[in-house]
Amino acid sequence: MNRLGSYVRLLALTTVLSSFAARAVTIHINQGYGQKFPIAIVPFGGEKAWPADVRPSHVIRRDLNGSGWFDSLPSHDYLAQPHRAAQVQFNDWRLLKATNLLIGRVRRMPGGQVHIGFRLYDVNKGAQLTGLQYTVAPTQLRAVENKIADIVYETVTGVRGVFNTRIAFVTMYPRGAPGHYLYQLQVADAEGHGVRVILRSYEPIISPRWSPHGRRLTYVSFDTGWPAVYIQDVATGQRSQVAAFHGLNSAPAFSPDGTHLALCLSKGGYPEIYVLNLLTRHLRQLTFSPNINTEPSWSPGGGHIVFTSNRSGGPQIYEMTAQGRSKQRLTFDGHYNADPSFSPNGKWLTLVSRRGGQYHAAVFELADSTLEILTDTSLDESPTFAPNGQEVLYSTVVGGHRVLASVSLNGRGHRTLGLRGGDITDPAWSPFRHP
Amino acid sequence: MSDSTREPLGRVGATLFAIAVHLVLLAFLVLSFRWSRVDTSYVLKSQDHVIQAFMVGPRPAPRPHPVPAPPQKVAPEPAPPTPKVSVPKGPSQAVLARARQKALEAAHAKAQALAQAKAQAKAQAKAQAKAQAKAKAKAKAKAFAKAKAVAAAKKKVALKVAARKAAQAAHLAKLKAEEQKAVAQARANLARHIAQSAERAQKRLAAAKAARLAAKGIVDRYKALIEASVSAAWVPVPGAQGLHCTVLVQLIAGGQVLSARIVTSSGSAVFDRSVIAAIYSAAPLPVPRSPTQLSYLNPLTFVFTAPKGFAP
Repeated sequence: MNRLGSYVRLLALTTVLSSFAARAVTIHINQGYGQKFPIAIVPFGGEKAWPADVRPSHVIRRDLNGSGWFDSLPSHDYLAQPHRAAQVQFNDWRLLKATNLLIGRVRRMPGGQVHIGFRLYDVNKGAQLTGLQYTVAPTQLRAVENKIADIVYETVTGVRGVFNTRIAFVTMYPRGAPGHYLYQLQVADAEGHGVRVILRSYEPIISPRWSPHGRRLTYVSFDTGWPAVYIQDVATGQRSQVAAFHGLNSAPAFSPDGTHLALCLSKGGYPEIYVLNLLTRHLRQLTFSPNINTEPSWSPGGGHIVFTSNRSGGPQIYEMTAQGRSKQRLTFDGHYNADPSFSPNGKWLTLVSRRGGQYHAAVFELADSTLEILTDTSLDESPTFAPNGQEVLYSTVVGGHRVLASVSLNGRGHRTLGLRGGDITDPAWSPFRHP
Repeated sequence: MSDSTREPLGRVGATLFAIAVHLVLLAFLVLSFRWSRVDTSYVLKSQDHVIQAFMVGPRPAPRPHPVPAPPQKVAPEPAPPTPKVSVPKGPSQAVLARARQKALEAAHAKAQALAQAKAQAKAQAKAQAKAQAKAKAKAKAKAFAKAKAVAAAKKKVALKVAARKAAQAAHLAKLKAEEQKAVAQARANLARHIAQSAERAQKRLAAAKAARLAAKGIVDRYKALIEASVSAAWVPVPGAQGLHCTVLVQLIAGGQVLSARIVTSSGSAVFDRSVIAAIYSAAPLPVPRSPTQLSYLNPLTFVFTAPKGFAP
C-alpha cells in the first residue's frame, strides 16, 4: 500500500512538472522598432458634398499621416465603407491589419449648420474606443476635423494632439527692386492651412514668439528702420512697441507666466540678455560678458533661461537662473550650437548644430548632455517644439527656397509644410489653445 | 418595550407551532394509514361468511349414523291399538272367547312379527355396525397408510431441501472464493498498472527531458524569431517609460494568433493597446511546422517593457 502511495505521488509530481515545463516559454520585448499605427479612415458618409480640402476623411488622413504616428491605409483597399456602427465588420479590418478604424458622417442641417459625427474602433479588440458628434457653423468644419484627428491621435498614442494649434512664421516675397522684399508675419494651423496675415511690411520681420496662452505674438520689426520689439494681439491686431533701445533689440521671449520678456539688447555695447517686466517696464540685465549673448529661452517652469553665447570661442548653449546666476555651459559637442528652445516638459532642448559645415536641427537631452541630430538637410534654422513635444518645426532650404519642415522625434516622420510662394522663415509653434 | 412585544409574539408563535405540529402528525397519520385494508368488498364477504359459520356451528358434524333409528321408534306406534281392541262392550262369552282367542292369536302373531322385526333390526344393526367397524378399520388403515406416505414424502422433501441448501452454501462459498480471488487479482493489476504508468511517466519525462534538451535549440530559435518579428511590429507609445505588461498569447498552426490577453496590465490603456496591436500586427508569427514543437511554444507569454525612448 505504501509503495502504491509513493507511485501515485510520483505520477502526480511528474504531471505537475511536465505542465510547468509546458508553460515556461516567455519572450521579453524590450524594444519596439514599429513606426506607425495602421489606421483605416473610411470616407465619411455625405462628405462628397464638400470640396476635397475640407472633406473629413481627407483632413484627418493628412493630419494623422503628417504626425508621423499613423499610416492610414489606402481607401481603395477597403472591403466595405461603413458609416454606422451596425455596418462595421471587424474581420474586414483585421484582414487589412488595421489597428484602428475611423468611421463617420457629415451632413448639412436645415439651419445651415453642419452636423458631423465619428466613431473610433479598436479593431483587435472589436470595440469602440470613442465616438462624438458636433453641430457647428460651416466655417468651423476644419477645426472640428482637426479636433477629431486630435482625439484619434491622443486615444492611440496617449499624447495630446496638436492639429488645432497654430504656427507663426515670416514669409519673404521679392518685391520691386532686386534685394527688396515684402515681409509678412503670418499665422496658420499646424498643417499650414488657414493662413492669416498678422503684419505686412517692406522691412524685415524676425523671430516671432507666442505668449503663454497663444493670444499674443512678440517679434522684431525694422519698420522704423531700426530693430524694435513689439507685442501684438493676434485676434485684434492691436500692437505695442516694448523695446526700441539704441542698437540691437532682438530675440524676445515671453516668460511662462507672460509677465516678463527676455530679450537681447546691445545698448551697452555688446549684445546682452535682459529681462523686461511688462507691467513695470523695469529692465534687468542678466549677462555681463564682453561677447555675444543672445537667443534667450525660458524653461517651462520659468526658473531658468538658456541662451547662446560665444564666450568660449564658438557659439554654444549656456544656462542660468532667471535671476542671471549660476551660468554654465551645456553643449560641448561640436563647434557650433545655437538658437536653443526648451521642450514642453523642460527635459530637452532643440537647437541648431553644425556638423561638417552643415546646419542641422538637433535635440539635446539635459539629463545626460547628449546631442542628437534630427535632419539631413543643411541650412536648418529656428527649430521649435510642438506643444506636445513630439515634433520639431524648423526652417530649411529645399530647391533654393526656404520652407518650413517638421520632423517627428526618432525620425518617425519628416514632412514639408505645403506653404507656397517666397521664402518662409522663423517658425514658432503656439502653445495649446486654452479655452 | 421589546420584551412585551416579543412575549405575545412568542406565545402566538408557540400556538401556531403546536397547531402546525398537530397538523403534521395528523397528516402523517392519514398518509401512513393503509387504506388497502379497509376494503369494502372484503367487509361484505366476511359478513357473508360469518352468517354461514353461525348456521353450521350447532350441528354435530361426526354423527350421521342415527339416521336409521326413527323407523325403530315408529315400530311401537301400532301397539296402542291393542288396548283399544280389548275394550269392547262384549255381549257374549263365546264371542268374547273367540274374540279373546283371535286377539291372542293376533297378539302372538304381532309379537312374533315384532320379535322378528326386532331381530331383523338387530341383525341389520349388527351388520351395519360390523360394516361400520370394517369401514372404520379400513379408513384407519387407509389413513395410516396415507400418513405414512405423507411422512415419507415429507422426509423426502426435507432431504431434498437439505440437499439444496447444502448445494447453495457450496455455491456461495465458491462465489466468495472467486470474488476474493478477483479482488486480489484486480489489486495486483492496479498496483502493476500504477507501477507501469509511473515507470512510463518517468520514462516519458526522461524522454521529454531529452527531447526538450534537443528541442531547446528549436524553441530558442523560434523564440528569437518571434521576438524579432514582434519587436519590429511594436510601436512604443511616448511617455510609457517604466511601464511593462504581460500578455498571454495562444497560437495556432501557421503562427496565427488565436487570442492575446493582457495578464498583467501596465496601468496604461494606451500602452496595453500598443502591445496587443504589436502581436496582431506581427502575425503570422514564425512558428515550427510540427504540432509537437508548436505545443512547446503554446501558450506564449510576452513581457513588454517600454524602452527608454525619446520623451520630450
